[in-house]
Amino acid sequence: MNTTPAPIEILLVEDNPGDVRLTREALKDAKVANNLNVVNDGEQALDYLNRRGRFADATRPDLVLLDLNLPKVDGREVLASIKADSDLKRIPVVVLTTSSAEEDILRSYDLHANCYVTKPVEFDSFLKIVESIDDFWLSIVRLPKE
Amino acid sequence: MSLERSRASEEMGDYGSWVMRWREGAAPWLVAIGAVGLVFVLKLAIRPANGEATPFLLFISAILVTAVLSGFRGAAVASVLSAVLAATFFLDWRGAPATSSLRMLMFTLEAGIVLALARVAERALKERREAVGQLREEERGLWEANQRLSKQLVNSPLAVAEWDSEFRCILWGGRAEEIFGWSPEEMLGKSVIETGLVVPDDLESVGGLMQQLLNGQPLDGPLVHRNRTKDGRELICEWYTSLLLTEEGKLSSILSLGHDTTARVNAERELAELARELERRVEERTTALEKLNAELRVREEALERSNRELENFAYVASHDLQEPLRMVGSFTQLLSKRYGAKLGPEADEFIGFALEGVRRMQTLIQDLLTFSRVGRGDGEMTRLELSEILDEAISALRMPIEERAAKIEADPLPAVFGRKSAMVQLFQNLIGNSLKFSRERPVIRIRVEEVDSAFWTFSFEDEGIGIEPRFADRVFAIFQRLHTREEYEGTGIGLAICRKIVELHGGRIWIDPEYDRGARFRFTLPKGDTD
Repeated sequence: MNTTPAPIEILLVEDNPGDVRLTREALKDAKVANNLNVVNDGEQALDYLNRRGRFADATRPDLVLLDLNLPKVDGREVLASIKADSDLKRIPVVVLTTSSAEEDILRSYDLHANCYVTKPVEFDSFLKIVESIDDFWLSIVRLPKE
Repeated sequence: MSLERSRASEEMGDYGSWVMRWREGAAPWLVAIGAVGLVFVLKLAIRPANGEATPFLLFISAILVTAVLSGFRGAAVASVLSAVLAATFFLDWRGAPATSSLRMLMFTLEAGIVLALARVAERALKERREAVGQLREEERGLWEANQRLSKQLVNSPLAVAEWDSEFRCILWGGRAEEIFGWSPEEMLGKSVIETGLVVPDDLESVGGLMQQLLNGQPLDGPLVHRNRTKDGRELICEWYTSLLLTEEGKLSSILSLGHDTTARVNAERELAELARELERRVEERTTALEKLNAELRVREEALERSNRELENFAYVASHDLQEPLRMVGSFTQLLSKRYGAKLGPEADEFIGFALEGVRRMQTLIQDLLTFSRVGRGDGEMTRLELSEILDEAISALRMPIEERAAKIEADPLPAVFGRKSAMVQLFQNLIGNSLKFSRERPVIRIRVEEVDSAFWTFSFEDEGIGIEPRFADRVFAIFQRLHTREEYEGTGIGLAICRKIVELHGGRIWIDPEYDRGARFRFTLPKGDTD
């Protein structure tokens, strides 16, 4: 066992650079060491997860932060693909929504993300979410890995 | 016509002579006794100066008189009486029986002849009488029938015309003169064509039928054609024709009964015209209605589409508006976190205003989103026990209710058809509104009335600050506020949502302007079939 655990690999699927930046800023203060990988649309996300094309060497993420409104292939389809894949479906997915209404719609598709997070207006709230992801992660690592 | 003849035969009915009447009156045996008694007395009176044959002659004449006066039966009675009297008083049976017997025999013979004659005469008389009676009966029947017919013709409301076998007028009566203007003098003896009674245009069509009549064939129905009057008017008449035949079955004359149907035909024509007009108008109206309906449908569809688009727009807009808002809010705060100290004290204040604006904008967007989502994907319409809905609304408002020590009094509530979450929100918003605008320890009353058979009417009343009647409509509009944010918080969405919910359920909502102790919201909901 390493004394310093390997940083967790996070895949952020987000097309808004502002949100990317905020997530990055928030994760700086996180307790868990992390490595944030960012893709900007659903297509790239699926390539990344399946290690296709320029993502052939990508590391398998430990956590996916998935925005719903994405260019090309949107978040719902990405979620559906992940949950349909026997290998990928074990990766926890946190869905970032703009409003709680979006969450309802997603639920109506019967796609089950591990967690839904409504993006907050203020940075302080954002920090709280990262904290909860921290906690969430810490609970995940206690689970046996594959 | 034959009227005079009939009367003559009536007078002839007196034919039965005085004899007959007399005979009918007195009894034959009385006459017989009278006559025989008379000759007996006469014979006794003239006794000395008589021959042997005198009594017999007298008795025979008495029998004869009786036969004439009262017929065979009287004569028979007289014969027997005479025989008895003659035999008793006038025959001397002792002297010369042979002569007496001979005389008696002679007498009997003569009486027998008289009797036979009386019998024959009476028979003949009786037959004659019966024949005459029958004739009189027949004549009376004929006369009556004739009179009935001719009276009917004369008093008939119809024009009566009779035409001979060359269609010349031989009778012009009834109301003919009144209808057509021609007097009998002008008509009698003239042929139909000469009279100009038939409008020339119609002569051709009528001609054939007239010929048919002249051939002795009756018509199937009335003859309808146009007639011209003396003063030149044109009438539409119906003629009912009958063929009068001789005993041998030959055509004797044609009787026509005419009826002026101009008014009726015109009325019928007008009526038909009116009916057509009516039909046309109905058709017109129907077409217009159909057009209107089609337009309405188009508009309805457009409205529905525009409503859908509006909802989508509100949803998408509010959604997409959040994104940049989040950027503004988050980075403003990040800015203040990282550089607040370097920017000086004023910067904090400015950043504070910016963040406050962002928060308010956020709330507005959230409300707009909520408003646009009312009725969207809200689940099926189900039977709702409103008392349960009320309980849910109260439990959602538990905090403010406890804080204000509010009391909620409700009538027993009925069941309605509706969407559960929407109905809870309606109750929650109305109670919440009352709580918000009430003083401490508010009492909120919920009443239900059955104003008409189709709707329940609910009232939510409080004793709060109330709403001025002039604002009664404005409060239901989205983002309409009657107070500053400093007085009462909120964006002014709650009642707009209430109205949307009520209207989505087929009811309406309003503020009772009569109520002045606070606010009284009233709304209706269709009763539906909740059994």
